[in-house]
Amino acid sequence: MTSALTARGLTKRYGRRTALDDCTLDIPTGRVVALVGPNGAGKSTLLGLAAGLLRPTSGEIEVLGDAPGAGPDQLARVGFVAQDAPTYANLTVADHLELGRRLNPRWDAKAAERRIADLGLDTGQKAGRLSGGQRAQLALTLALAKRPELLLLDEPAASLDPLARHEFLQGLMAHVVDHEASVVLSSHLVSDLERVCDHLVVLTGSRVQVATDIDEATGTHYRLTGDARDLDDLPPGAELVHATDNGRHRTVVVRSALPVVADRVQVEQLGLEDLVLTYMARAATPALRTVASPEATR
Amino acid sequence: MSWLAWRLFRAQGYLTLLLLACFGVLVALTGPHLADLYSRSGAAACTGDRCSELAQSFLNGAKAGLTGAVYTVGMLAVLGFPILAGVFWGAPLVSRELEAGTHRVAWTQSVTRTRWLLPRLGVVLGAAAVTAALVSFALTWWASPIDSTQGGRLQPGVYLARGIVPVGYALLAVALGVLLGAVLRRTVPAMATTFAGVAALMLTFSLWLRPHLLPPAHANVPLDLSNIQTFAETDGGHMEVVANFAQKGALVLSNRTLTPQGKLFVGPADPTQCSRDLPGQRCMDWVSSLGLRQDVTYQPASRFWAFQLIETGILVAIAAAAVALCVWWVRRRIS
Repeated sequence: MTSALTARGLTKRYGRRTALDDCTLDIPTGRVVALVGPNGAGKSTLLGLAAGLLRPTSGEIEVLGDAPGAGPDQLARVGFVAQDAPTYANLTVADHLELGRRLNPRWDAKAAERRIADLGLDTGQKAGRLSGGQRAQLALTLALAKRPELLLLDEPAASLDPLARHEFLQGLMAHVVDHEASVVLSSHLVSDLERVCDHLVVLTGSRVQVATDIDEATGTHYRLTGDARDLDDLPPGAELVHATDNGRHRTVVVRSALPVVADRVQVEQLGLEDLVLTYMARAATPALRTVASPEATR
Repeated sequence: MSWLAWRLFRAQGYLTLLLLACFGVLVALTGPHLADLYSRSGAAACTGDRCSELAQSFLNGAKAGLTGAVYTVGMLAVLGFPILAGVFWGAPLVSRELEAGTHRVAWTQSVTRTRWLLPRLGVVLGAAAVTAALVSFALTWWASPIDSTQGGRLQPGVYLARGIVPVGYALLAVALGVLLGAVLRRTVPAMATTFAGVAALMLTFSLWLRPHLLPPAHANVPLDLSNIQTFAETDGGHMEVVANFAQKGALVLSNRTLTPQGKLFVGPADPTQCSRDLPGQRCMDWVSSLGLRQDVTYQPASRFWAFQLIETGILVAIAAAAVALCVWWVRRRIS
């Protein structure tokens, strides 16, 4: 089975600014992938590269086994909703559906019309007059009715209120289940993704920090809290991810295939949100990546 | 794909059609009146001394009232249309998509960028060419009495607003506008540079290039003092005498008055014939006795269509190069 997305040493620079640095990834098909990271981490760049809108400065990227944007066939297999869900402001909702019908060979007109009707959108309305949420729904409809094998969504829910966000993700998931499409969904709101995603990619500082199945990630990461002296030696088989000191107390996050047992130390499994935050914090404070500094024992 | 190209252009297309129709009505209503004015003035069939007088009275009549207004509107329309098309149809075509982010919609449908761009270019280039041709041919037909009475169609201001050259400029302006929009990626700078670029090209052709597109003709004829342009004498006896060139509608590149020996005539004036105290006619008579000759290099009026064809060919070739560069740029450089 080919991968949904593979990247090897993928790098994108804009002049002297590096937007994506030496990114190596392999995302299997059939997953709903959460692409998580702070603003400016390179999420949009990675998705733009996958959609064929951007060209890598160096490295390689393959989407569904082919170069992104290689030709009409490849374009037809990938659906994309860009950040802020751009639409043609002067074109009506019906015009957008007509655009989709004429530009996509696998266009599912019935599904598109039904979806627009279910959403209660007025087909005669100009897209420029729609609310942010309605526009996002229109853009998603366009991408879904194209019947893509891979759907790339760049912060699709960012402009939506909680209820609209919920409906948006629900509609997305219903489609994914029906059509067995792969999805890559970027967001900086982890709580949105927890419900719908089964694979996680954390991107910070234009680098990939972690790429893993969510079940596996949450099952192998532990937070240990206790006296700094008791945590000088990590449990056997555990790999340090991140440590923070607060006076004599130390909090350590480790990755371990085996269950972690330790004396005089509090141990808990990490949830998705904490996991993401840990990897973001690690990227933000590289000095603390290794074992604590001497001041911690003062 | 051509559906989207037309859909995005539709509003501008209808507005252009409306303006074209208004202009057509004006031209159709006033054209017969102008032709009638021309035939009744007798300027067409005249020979001899009264010609310039008849011509002037016809022009005074033609440039007053409604016909005068139509002439002004028509000149502005034909001269201005290529620039407007470049600025408002060409420059925003790619740049506005990039600014609004809609290229992310257009370029992720199941159509390559080239297949997206070519129909859009086709619609805008086609509309520009057809509009320019209609307006220009209407004015060329309508203004032919005026053109044959005054300085001729090779004069730069008139030349640019007649025949097929406006089509060449319209195509070039649109192609340049789209290219600059794709390269600069911002609409307003693209519009400004397109305006400057097309205006500069019009000036360059008019002032420097066009007179040399064909080798100029040469005439050496006896100086005709009845058709004088300049007749001046300064205190030191230095003289400057230039006659108008007799050929109607020619574009004069140089016009010198030579002595029978072939040298430029600069005097000196004979103080016994030319003096403030003596009648001017005496000095004239003396000059005409010198056997001076008028030496002119010029482009004859009959070359109007040859010039139009050559210039339009050059403009279309530049436009085609701009289109090719633009397609390459959109495919390769926007990422």
